[in-house]
Amino acid sequence: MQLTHLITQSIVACTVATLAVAKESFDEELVLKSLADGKLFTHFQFTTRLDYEPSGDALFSHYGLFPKAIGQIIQRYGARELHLTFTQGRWNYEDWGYPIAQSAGTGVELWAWMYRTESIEPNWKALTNALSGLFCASLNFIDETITSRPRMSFRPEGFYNEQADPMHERQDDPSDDSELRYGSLPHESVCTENLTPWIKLLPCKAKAGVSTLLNAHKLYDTNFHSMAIHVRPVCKDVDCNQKQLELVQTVTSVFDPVRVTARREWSFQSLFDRKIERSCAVASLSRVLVLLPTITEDNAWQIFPSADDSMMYKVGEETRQVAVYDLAKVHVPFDLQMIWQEHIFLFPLQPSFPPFFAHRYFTGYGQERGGLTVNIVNQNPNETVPVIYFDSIPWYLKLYLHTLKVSVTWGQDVRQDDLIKQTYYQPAVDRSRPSVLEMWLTLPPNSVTTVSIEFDKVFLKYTEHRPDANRGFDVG
Amino acid sequence: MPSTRPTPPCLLLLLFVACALTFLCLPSFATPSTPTADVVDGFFSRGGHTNNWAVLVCTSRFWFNYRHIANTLSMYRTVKRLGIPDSNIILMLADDVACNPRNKFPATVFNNAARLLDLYGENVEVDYRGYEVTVENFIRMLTGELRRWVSYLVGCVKVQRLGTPAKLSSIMKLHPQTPSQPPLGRVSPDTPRSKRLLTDDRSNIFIYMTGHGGNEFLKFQDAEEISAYDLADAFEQMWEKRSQHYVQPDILAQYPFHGEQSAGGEFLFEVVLSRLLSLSITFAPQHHTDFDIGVAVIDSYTYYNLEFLENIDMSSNATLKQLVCIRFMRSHELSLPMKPPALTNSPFRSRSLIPMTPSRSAVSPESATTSLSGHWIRWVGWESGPGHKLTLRT
Repeated sequence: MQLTHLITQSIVACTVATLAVAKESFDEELVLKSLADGKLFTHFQFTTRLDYEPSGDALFSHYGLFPKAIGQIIQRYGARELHLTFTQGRWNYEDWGYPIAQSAGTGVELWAWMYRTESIEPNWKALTNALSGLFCASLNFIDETITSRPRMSFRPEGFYNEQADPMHERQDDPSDDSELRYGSLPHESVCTENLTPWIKLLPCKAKAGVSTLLNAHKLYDTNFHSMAIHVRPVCKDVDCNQKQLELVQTVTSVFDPVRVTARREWSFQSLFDRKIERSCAVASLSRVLVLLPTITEDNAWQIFPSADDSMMYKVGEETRQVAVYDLAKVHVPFDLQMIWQEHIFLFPLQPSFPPFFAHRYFTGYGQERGGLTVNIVNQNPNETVPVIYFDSIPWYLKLYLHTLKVSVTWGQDVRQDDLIKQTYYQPAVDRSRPSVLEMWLTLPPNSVTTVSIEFDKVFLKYTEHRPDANRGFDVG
Repeated sequence: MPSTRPTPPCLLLLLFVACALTFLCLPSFATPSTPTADVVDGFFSRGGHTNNWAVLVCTSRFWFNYRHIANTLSMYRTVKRLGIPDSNIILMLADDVACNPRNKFPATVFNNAARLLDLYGENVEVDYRGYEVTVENFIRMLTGELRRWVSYLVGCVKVQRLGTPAKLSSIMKLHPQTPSQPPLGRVSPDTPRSKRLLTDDRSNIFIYMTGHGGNEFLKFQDAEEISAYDLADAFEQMWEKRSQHYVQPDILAQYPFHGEQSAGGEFLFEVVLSRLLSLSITFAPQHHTDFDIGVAVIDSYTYYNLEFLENIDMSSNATLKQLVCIRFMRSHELSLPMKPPALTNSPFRSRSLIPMTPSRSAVSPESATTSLSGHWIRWVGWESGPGHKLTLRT
């Protein structure tokens, strides 16, 4: 026993020594927030940072917390930034407002800033294949026929964060040394086999800390779930003397406690079927945040245990409270519980529309022709909102640019002549690249702007149909 | 303390091979006769077999084929439990039933209406899924790799293994940019390790396929078929490339749900049998239905396989013969139209001695006429019965 203890101690000592050299850090957070329609938003975020020099060759020979699998992939294939999301369900903007983290489309989305070299195309292909193997997903289907290179919609989030304004002029473009590649698979399913390798990237796996709560059976029994990894180079200080590589892993879910109990109350046990048994020892920050609603007469709630610490955050004009639980200090096993003083939950009659949202749908009928329409709503009564609309349409929908119409279909006293500030359109090439449409629109206050375009459905060879051809194709 | 050392992992595959060695006279495979080749061959044969691999394939798409996914995952669980790691398992699932919106129990797959064991669990790695499960990918995966030692050894032996010097040089020319990596065969150079069958010439491979099929073919996703000859050819090539030691394919051809009368299963071919220790092709009707999930959850073939396999562990001395006998007896007593014990075969055994063909009369009633409730009643009856006395038929 004693020997084991000694060995354990020496292993711990070695680990600590390694960590000190490698200069890595790991933070983990869980954010919970009750939504207006009784659902519960949960957001896990794990951040690993590694001090590095982008030009260093032996970057991932020594590592402690940063997952080697990711490090080697981005180094080998020259990816400067990498963003990968796995999502099922649709974020319901009308009832849930805006998500805390960046929202993602259904299925799989992958975009990366690749270093501009001669082998950028093979590198992108190899990157999708490597990620496909790592995350058990069919990412290798992101080939040149669905890869696009949007010009306006994405900006590097790395070293030049302060310049990452999409409306910035192109001569200051920080992305001189890299190019964007974007691909999405809207029909890709997301399940335990994707979460399994994702969890294996975490230093504490699902054994300690907030990651204990990542129970696949519960996470996939939700109205919306999105799992993501974001890798990007960041600066440690303002002058950017020390660069860091940052890996952010997130799991976002929208639970529905009302479905089960007709009440909004929740606890870790009821949501995840687990409690936090111990904190993650290598995490420099390990905490649970609950964004608390305001207490009103018909919205009285209690939270157990009460938080030792709290912060304030602002929502528009209002200031609200956040309960903060530091997992290094709480009593384990830690179970958080929130209850409302209500017999059953009464759904709000009015949806809480956010100031700005969009709705995209197909028009037409039959197997020959069709159309695509997007309604973009700006409910802001006074302000003009600049937006960039990006769409990547597969080659088998042959778009007709002359049918592209942009107009304000609802709104009063609106000038229609300066709606479009800039447009980028790349026509498709059959069986080799998709159509790409990007538009920088200026939405007038309190208006609905409609973008529509017509297309022909290309006659496909029989081998180009999927095995479940009856289902059709998913488009973005 | 060599005497207390734990028994080396005796895997499912190893088990099959060992049993074949016990019960049959296993001849060694023919090798080229040049002296150099013999020396090299001797060197590589010294260690016996090196590793175990499993290729588990569900070729059926759509929710009502839930049981095929459950079959495959049952075997996945079993081979993992018996010691084959995820890195040595190629799991191909043509559809996602676990997170299918129709699944009342998200992220789970059950193989029994009692729902005691979630096959999907917390740790599953699916290597090929959805649209990736195609005949082309399957055959490329099986035959894709030229063996490492073949490529690394420079000399006449290597050239002989590959056939001609010209062929080797053309392979090296194809991938000049990666001289340090083994030459790649039929999979893309970008294919990740998890999608490659990285066997060597002393590997044992267990192949399990389930799906709908018919006489000499197995359907992939209702869109294409693999024929017995394709499969035989793939095995033949694996043998030529020495990418496996022995192959133990356990191939389950599941006939269409509503029982077309084409059943017969002449899934037999000379080339495969000449290279394999055993081959079993089985007509397997669904075993029972879970009415909460709403579909059949397992086939009888896999059900009886598991009944046996769940009771063995890595130290078991059970043999393949016991498995096939018990599997047969169980199904026979229940009058299920399962074929006779699948027949261990050796390269030199006469093909005529292997009764591989299920009788037509046994196939048609089950596949064509039995309703779901019929299966259910049968299953319940078996569960509540006093327990059959098992006798070994010889």
